[in-house]
Amino acid sequence: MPDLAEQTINIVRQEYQGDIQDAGTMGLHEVVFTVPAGDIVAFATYVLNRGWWHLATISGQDLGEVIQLLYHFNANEPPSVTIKTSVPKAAPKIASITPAIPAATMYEREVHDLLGVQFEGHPKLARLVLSDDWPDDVFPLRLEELAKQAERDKEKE
Amino acid sequence: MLKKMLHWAICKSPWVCHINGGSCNNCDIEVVAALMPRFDLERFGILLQGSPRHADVLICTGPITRQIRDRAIRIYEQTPDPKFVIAVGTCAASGRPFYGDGSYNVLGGVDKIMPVHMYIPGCPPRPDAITYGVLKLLAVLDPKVDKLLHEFEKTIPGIEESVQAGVQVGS
Amino acid sequence: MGRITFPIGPQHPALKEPESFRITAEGERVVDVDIRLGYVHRSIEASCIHRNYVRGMYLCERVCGICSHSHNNTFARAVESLLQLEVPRRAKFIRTLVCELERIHSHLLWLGVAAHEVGFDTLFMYVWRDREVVMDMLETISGNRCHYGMSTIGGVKFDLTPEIIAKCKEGLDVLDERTEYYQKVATEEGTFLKRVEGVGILTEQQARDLGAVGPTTRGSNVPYDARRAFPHDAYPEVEFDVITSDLCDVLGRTIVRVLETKQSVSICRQVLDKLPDGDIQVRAKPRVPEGETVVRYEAPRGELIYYMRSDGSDKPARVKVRTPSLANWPAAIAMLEGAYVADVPISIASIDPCMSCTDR
Repeated sequence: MPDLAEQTINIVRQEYQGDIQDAGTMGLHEVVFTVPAGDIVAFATYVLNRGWWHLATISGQDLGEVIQLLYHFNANEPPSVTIKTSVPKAAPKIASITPAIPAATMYEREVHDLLGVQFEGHPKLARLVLSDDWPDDVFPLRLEELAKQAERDKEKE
Repeated sequence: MLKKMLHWAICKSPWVCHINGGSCNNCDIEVVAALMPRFDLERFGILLQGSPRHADVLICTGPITRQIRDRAIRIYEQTPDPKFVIAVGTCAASGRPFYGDGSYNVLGGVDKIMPVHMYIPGCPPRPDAITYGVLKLLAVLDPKVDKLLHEFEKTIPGIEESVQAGVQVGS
Repeated sequence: MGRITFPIGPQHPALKEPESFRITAEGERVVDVDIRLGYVHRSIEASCIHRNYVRGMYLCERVCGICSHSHNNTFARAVESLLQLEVPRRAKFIRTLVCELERIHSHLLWLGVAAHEVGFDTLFMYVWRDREVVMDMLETISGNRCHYGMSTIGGVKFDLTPEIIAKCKEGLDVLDERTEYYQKVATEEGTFLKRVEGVGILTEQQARDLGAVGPTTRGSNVPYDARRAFPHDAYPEVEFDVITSDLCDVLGRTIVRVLETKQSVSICRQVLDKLPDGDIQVRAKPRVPEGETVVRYEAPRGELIYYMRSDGSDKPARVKVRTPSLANWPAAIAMLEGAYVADVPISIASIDPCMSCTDR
């Protein structure tokens, strides 16, 4: 796996003309590329058109100052690719990859719902899992909200 | 006179409507499995109805989530009296493990929004346990059902010991 | 002709789970489908961050009642990947056995429900009666008909005695014969074929573009199976085929599921014959070193993917669950456009939707 990972990283660095901030491995089968948020559509489309990989899901997590987005791709055999990028929490906006990759539609809606990231260009950025009476400015997976929920749970006990 | 007839109809052949309040699906599958040839709820006259208007007994599974709360209350109100509510599964009875410890969308068990007459714990309770629970509820109303219940109990291995153990724990 | 929009759900006689569709139809043809999720959202991902790994595994198992071992197993494998823990070989084989038995029970469940959706209640009753054979096997192995609690971090909890193995082999003989019969019904029974042939069309290009997974995509000729792509547990040591169909409709998906059930029976037999001796569990540390990992598994409905990040404590920093049902919804909506209103239930049922998996 380490050899395959290195080979993959070299091929991608040669073929993709844009900026790759970092490249490494994760877990058993993943090769991770970190790109700037502005380049996400270009790099994701490159990865898809390469023919090896197709989109699995988009994860998001709150790292304090930034919200990190991970675009997980699948392959018919290892290695598979994960793209990491970050947006500042104060202004969480990023271009949507849904017009280019229709499979992303539900995943971007979920990250929007739970973390509050705005995906510009998404055809229908509506609520996905939270209820109709949920307040618009509360994002349950952000660190502040997780801490507030822990306080509320302590009071219940 | 009418009350007596209603009483007889419910105990002889209770019609059931199923509400899913946000469950993992397992108790719902066990309720459907109870209608299948192996466990056969229909021999007790229990029919699964689609509409709450036709139901005598509401079977509720799952902890109540924020989104389903108003709809579940509306279904309860649409069911005509006299009606009984059975909470099937541990999460319907108490909300756990989903309620509490970080959960922001779960309100608790079914008894948070409607009065519950019978709790059937288990994750999931076996189809025979669900049948037993429904019959036990009816046995409270009608002593003839009590006799039927004792016949049914004999077909379940190990039930006498666990009922005795349950009685000891309860008292 | 004018358009009419009508709602289906969240409480509906045909639906076992709450979901809400707003279907816009022009005459008998569906023009648009709007779906509202979130009725079963139990905030599993947020709850996992507040609970330690063992409690998180117990909780994630209850994301779905039909594919519970998929979640249990994948969570355990994700933590083992972060701990860099190697599980004993016997435990891997037992995990694979339970994985495949779960696949059999899930596909038989689906076949019964699909038969019910097309009005074939006799098949529904037959299939669910035979499904009880699998439920008995699972109850003998683990003590519960579902939510087995089989996988733990470091191995499995329950061992297989020679008596259990003998009982399983008897059950597999019965299932062999019954799946032959269901394969015949699915491919030759005229009334069933009339309801499923040419219904719920999803072309190969659509399946690829919309990111469909599992039998939904394999029924449209896309040969992606996570057991073959990312082998784990005992899968490298057993032989099985990746079943595809180029029919691209509900019949294709039915054939894929029935043939996969046959493959699963064969995998179970191979696992029982090759079962190695040894321990079933190794001890795992409660505190997991910092790191992140991605783990995949081919659940009965499709590929299940977990992303987990640890921060050195005994609670995870992030657990992300992407279930196959969430991936298949765009494909289901694409299937419905232009279809008859009467074909809506079976088309939606053909992706094997699990709302509790979708909403988590």
